[in-house]
Amino acid sequence: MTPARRRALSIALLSLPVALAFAALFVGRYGNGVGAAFHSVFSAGADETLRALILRVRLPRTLAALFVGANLSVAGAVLQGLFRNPLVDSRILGVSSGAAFGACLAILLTGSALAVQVSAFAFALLAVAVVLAVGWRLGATPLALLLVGIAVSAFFDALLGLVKYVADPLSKLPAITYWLLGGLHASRWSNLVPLVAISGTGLGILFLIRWRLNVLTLNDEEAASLGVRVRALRISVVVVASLLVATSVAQAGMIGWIGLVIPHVARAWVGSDHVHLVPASAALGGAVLVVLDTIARTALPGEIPLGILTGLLGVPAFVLLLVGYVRARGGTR
Amino acid sequence: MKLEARDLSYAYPHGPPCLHGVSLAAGPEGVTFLLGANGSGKSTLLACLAGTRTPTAGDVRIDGISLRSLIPRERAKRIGVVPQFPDAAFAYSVEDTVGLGRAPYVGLFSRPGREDRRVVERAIESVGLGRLRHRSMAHLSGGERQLVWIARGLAQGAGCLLLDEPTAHLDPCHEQDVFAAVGELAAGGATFVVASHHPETALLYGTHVAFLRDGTVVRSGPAQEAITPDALLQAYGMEFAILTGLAGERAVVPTRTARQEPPSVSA
Repeated sequence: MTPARRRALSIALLSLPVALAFAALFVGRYGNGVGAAFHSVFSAGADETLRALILRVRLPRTLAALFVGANLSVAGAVLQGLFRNPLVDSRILGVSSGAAFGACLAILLTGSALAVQVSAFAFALLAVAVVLAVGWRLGATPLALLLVGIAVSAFFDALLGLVKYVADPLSKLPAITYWLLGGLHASRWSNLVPLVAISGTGLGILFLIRWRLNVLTLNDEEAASLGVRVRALRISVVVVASLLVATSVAQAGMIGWIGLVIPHVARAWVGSDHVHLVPASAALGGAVLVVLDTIARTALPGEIPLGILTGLLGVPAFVLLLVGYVRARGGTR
Repeated sequence: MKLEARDLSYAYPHGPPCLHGVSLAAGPEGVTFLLGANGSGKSTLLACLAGTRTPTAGDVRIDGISLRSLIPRERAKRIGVVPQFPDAAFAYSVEDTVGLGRAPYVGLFSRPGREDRRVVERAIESVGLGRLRHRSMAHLSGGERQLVWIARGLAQGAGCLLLDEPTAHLDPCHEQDVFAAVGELAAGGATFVVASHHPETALLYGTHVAFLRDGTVVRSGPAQEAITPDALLQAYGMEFAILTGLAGERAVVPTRTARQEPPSVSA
């Protein structure tokens, strides 16, 4: 790809989520169409209820979709590179399972929304701390981190099973199930600060070190021979990516497939170089989640859980990618 | 650049020692081959020479400076490595791959600048791959890939390049391409250390050789003099013949003899 074409593609990709997010504000089940919604925001004396709805509900929710989508796909892209494994996604390393257990435990014990968010975040960090502590002792190689991550995931999945088993099937269990399916319906200005602060910092750091991330996709001795302190850099990147996933899961529940599929789509468009891959993944992930969330809140009278939508659309996308990939290589090997 | 190992020993954690008292000098220019059978310690020695493994005893010096006193970034500006199985999970372009060689010069939060790109371009040209600059690594032949990794070492600014079995998967003509480039760069003042199983390659392209057996250098010297049936028997435990062609060219050929216990080092 020529530099000029790449620049044009980058500008198009980066403006995509902004344009979609702006458009999504004016789409919804309340009110008389997009025109009225637009009018309510930009003209004085128009429908005040609709204006309040857009500014106090849809705007924070759309921002949350942008950040959660960007976080999950950037974390997925970075972890795929770091583990040199295209099948890795943002849920690896036990972060998501830890968060799910934390959230469901809080639902079981209190039911307060703030407690759910805090507990999800805390247990996500606990999970990744265990993975890093054990993984470090095993040399912090990609394989060691991956294996320990799978083990920690399985452990928290079992704990989650236990929570579901003891939860009251009439009141608590439905709430747990609903939370696990994921969604942004609870996003308000009041609970958005941690997501925005952590995402802004984390995405900013990964954006700044994106060239260096390429070195981490080499094997350890090669990377070391280039003068890079491999273990320290790898652990730092894992911590930042885990924070991004943890804050996203705490905000939106379990949203699968974004962290696996979007990085591959971005790679197909801009190549494997993290200099272009990181911003492209962020833009695409944000854009896709804004669109899916808009569908989730408008397609049916009731809200469709976001986790279901990402699965329904993510799986076909994944299969298409796989078919394209296998065809391009002339086989599965 | 002159690369010296003095009394180098290395043992893997929880493993038996695999290098004992290796002393070796390579450079200031030329192509030094480390020859020996599988498991003789060539790759471990190369990793110690590269500074990516810290020897349990002894010292490695580059132009008289101990690697122990150099931070990783400074070491990488002097010594480059082409590993045995270089792999990147996702294919980069030739330019981006060679560009990784600028890692020691680029800060954590920045990217290669204009000067870095100029160095990368020169490195790609010097191995003759200018026309493939934008090609994906996935679409290169084995020989071309080796040249890209050598170019990455050059982009690193390393005056000394360590190659681990660079032509293990190459046919003779691609092997020749790689070593033609290596020879040209060596003539321009670069130092190469090449680990190889194949004495015939060393005889064709090496200026110096060191034979390793069981983690010890058993013989060393200028390639044309040191590669003898005797030395080969000692290193590999099997018989080789050295044939001379009509034009005086020499070739190493293994002969079909039963493997035997190599004669002891003092023989």
